[in-house]
Amino acid sequence: MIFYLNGKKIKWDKNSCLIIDILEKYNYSLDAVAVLVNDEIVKKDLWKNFQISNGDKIEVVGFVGGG
Amino acid sequence: MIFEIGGRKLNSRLFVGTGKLSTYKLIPEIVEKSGVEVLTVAVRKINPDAKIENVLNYIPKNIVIMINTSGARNAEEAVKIALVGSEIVNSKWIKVEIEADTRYLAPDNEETLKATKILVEKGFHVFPYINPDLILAKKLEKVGATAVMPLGSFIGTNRGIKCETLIKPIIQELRVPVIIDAGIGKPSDAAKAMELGAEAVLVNTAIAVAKNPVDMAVALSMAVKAGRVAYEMGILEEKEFAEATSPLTGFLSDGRK
Repeated sequence: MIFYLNGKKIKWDKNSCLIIDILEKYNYSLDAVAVLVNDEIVKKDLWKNFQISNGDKIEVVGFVGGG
Repeated sequence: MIFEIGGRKLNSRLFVGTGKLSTYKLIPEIVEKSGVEVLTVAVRKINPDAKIENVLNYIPKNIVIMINTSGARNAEEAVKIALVGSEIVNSKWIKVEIEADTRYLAPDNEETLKATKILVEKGFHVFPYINPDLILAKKLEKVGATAVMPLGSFIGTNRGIKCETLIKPIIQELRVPVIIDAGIGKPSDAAKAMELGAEAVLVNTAIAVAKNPVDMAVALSMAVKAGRVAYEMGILEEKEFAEATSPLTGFLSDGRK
């Protein structure tokens, strides 16, 4: 399957993928990010069950210094 | 001199933005030395290959985190950024910053009003960053903004409180606090803002790009305190002609020709 992570095309070698799988594979710090799938926020407690579909647009966001 | 805002009791009227710092490692010392209690942060995409440090790791626990919606071009995006930010950190403080202009980073007052209304209804403490406009400020107060944050001058310009004549009426006419945000480039600007009756000031660039951001934060903190005390004592009116401070009697020349 394929999906887009922050705009970058990712080829996932399995046919199923959970949000938590992506976050763990790319070493995201789980308490420092929020996740949107196709522009909708997916709450943290759903990450372990939320299935990514082929072609989904996933955004991982966090805080940076800002005024 | 404790004051209350957004459900929090605070001592420091200096709010600080964390953008442009050479390293987040400066944050704990800025907080410790200047007594700052409110810091702003921004929400951005975090790419897996980018080694971006998590700013939250450097922010002490007791600090109020104000989530800035910068990067939003309209109300819808600002609301989304606020919701995303509050997923990550347990904070209800939102600085609504909506800019459709890249040269002056001028806030879009109309979209800001829309976003403020929506976010207030969702239970946030909303601090809208605005062009100083009395009527808009009144509308923001009406929809439930916690404070309004007119710009002193444009972001990062270090030009001080250029909008004084527009900000003064906002301070006088609103019941909600007015926080002067943007343009404060040096301590005298911060003191000036406080002398006008601002509840607080928000400063980023002046601290972040200083030779020593910790020392500059301390200097600004002192200026904010001085300006606030002066405001509370009452700023004297300006006069056209001199008024003697020494007695006008008993001159040595009295009685001589």
